[in-house]
Amino acid sequence: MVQVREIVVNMGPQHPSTHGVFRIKLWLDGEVVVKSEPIIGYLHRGVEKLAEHRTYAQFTPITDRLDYLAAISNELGWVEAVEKLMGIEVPQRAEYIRVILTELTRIASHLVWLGTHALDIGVMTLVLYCFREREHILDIFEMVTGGRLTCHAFRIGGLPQDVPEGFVDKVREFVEVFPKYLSDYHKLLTNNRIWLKRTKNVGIITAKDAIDLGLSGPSIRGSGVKWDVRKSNPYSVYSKFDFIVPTGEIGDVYDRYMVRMEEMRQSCRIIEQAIKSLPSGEICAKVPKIIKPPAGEVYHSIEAPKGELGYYIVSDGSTIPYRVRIRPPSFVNLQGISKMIEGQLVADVVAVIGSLDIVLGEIDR
Amino acid sequence: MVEFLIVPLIKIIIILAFIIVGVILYIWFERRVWGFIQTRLGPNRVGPFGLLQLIADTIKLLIKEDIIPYRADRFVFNIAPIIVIVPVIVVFGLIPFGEGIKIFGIDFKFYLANTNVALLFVVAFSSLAVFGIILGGWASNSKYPLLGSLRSASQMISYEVALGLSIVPILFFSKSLSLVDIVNSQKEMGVWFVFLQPIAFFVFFIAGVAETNRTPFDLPEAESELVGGFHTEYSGIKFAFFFLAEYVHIFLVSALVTILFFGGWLRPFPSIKFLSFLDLIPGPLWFLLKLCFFLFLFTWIRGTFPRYRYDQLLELSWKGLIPLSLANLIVTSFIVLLVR
Amino acid sequence: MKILDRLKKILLIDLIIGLAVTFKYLLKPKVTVEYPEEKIEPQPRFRGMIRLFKDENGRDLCVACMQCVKACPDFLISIEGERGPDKKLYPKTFTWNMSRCMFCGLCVEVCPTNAIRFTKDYELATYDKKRLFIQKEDLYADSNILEKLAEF
Repeated sequence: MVQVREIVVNMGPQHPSTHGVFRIKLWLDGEVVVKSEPIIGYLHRGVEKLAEHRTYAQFTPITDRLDYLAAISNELGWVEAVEKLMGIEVPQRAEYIRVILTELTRIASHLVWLGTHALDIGVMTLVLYCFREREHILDIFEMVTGGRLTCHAFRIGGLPQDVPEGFVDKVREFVEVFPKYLSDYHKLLTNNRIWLKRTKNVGIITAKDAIDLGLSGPSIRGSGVKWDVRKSNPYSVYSKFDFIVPTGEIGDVYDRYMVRMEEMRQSCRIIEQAIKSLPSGEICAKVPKIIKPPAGEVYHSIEAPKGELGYYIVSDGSTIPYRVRIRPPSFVNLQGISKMIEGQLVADVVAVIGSLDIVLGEIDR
Repeated sequence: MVEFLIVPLIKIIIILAFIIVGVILYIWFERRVWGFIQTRLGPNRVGPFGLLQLIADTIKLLIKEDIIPYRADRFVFNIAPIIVIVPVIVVFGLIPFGEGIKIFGIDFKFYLANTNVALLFVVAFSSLAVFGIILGGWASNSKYPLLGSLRSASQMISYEVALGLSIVPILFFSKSLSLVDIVNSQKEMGVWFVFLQPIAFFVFFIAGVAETNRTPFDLPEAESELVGGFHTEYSGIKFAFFFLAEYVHIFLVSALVTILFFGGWLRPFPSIKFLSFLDLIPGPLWFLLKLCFFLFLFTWIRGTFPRYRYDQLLELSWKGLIPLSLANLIVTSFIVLLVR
Repeated sequence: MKILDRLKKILLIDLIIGLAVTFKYLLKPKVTVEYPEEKIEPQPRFRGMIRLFKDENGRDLCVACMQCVKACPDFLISIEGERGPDKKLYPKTFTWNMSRCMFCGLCVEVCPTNAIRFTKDYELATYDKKRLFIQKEDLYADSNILEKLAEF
């Protein structure tokens, strides 16, 4: 008697294309995925517990290491949450420079996404091009802060020191050169018939499902929902800049790809506007040496490159927070993966994981 | 006596040396070209310009531990690499590199054998390599190689059909299956067959890329999906055999393309007397130049394109290439009938 | 438009444009920096290894105020202070545990006398973890701690 059974394949923690130590169990019927179960926790470092034993200023470099590919935007969320709790007003020059550094981080994170996503689908040259552009951005970070990847660029109340001379020129040079590289990437991928076949109508998630599951960032914008924290709850000085929020239509891998490519171009626009109208002035507000916020709780969220990153801080009036809860965007976006790969082939699982842009450092904390 | 024993022996040694040295140089060339496309230098430390890199890699592979998975079928596991590599090397005996010269009164032809069914033999024998892949994946007793080998089997079988159908129109012009006769008929007709049959060349090239499991059709060994496909569980010298067999197969497909469509050892436009000064370059050198161009094309394509998904791959063959080559065959036969 | 699209599809224009992009990069200069023969110079604010500095009279700038000990997120610095002959504090021992340091810079920022500063040394790999507990004598600017770390 011939029996037909589903085989269980484990795309385990060590796999070339699950970004980080991500494990997903697939029940396959031939090549079609019938059921899937993601298993996480291989990178758990106890970050939220560490926060209960560090002061507010000591925790800032640790938030860098959550989403290590876009380190500066994590810090922005944390320092803004503490400033909201304490009611500190940050000077304008510091806000503008914060926005410039955060948008550069967004471009850097999307470059890593593009390189690794294309590599999973088979294009071997795009990784090196994207990382070469990223080197320019990391040089700018090194010039301002001293670190390339985990930068510790912000302090509670502003910035530690003013930007060096030549910063504005280097950023302007980068912003002028970058759109040409972006058009190169478009030439390689956007109209390529093989790329279209691999990414169109693959991993579709409808707008209603996306809203129900709580997705955010480009994963939900690809389905047509216009939700961007920079526009709906503006923080920092984003309300002064003119930029559009790109959305897709169907919610497949191709739409998410186009949304992120367009976001890179919009970030360039924001940086241009910020450099043109960079005010002079102080770089840090008058913050007491020992930071003791009043007792209370605050939730503050920002638009990280991966989605909505939120910090919920409960303070009991001492120098050490009572509880810090981090809402990572990739953790919530990952809930959508079971819906996206049902009924697709094994080869599509890799494309979908790449298009969701997950970072295990955030998911497992 | 000399002709029957010593001359073929010398030719065999030359062919084997050509294959081994050629593959080593090709892999070095490929890694350097990929590096240059990716704005980095390829291997350039081991030896001058990194030429000895592959020798270092081969020595590393040879001295690795030979791992056989638990409860794998030992006999089949061990002979699968041999089944993959032997057919492609044997077939090289039929590929003509040039016409032939006379040394010391002995007629030294630049090919080992010239049967009158050479083309059929080449295509049929090189397709035996599929067996090695299927057996290798099955004998590994593991899920990933099984998936990879099943995919590869169906892929290779579908593209064999397209390959075979695309070369039939050539036979209308050459009236013989012998590879030497095909090149000679291109000389008589005065034009390379690629100008008479561009569609057949296109279909043959794509089917050839798919036969050798190269991007954009390299799903059986897609590193980012199935970790390694059918050669996941192999290590050491058996893995080296799989690896080498793929590159020898690439050489074979490039050689076939030059012979069937680009005139083998003829110069461009063999019938125009004006260009006969190009005959100063000997035939085998023209052959090698054209071979190098196609090898570069394989590398260039690998560095640029994504890979097709498995069902799109089969769709391309059955719904795209085979009807195209059939239509080409019918149209060509009509035209030949009208002209004659 | 329809006919043009069809023609583009048949002639594989989209694939050829992709091939042209990679061919263009084949001919451009390469960005490889061949380490260790060529090295990139870090920028002025680079956060390399930490060192202690003395003033122009040869006296320690560090006054053992313990600010860096309190500021470090991982409690990696430990200092024993002592009064010197001129009644000023100076550090008797200063231990820095480099094995868990994340080079965040909080200790450098809070130091009131600018005694502890970043340098540009980043080649800090070592074969033995015990060598990463660096004492005061090895932290001065003229010590040979880098050779000691890289010893086999």
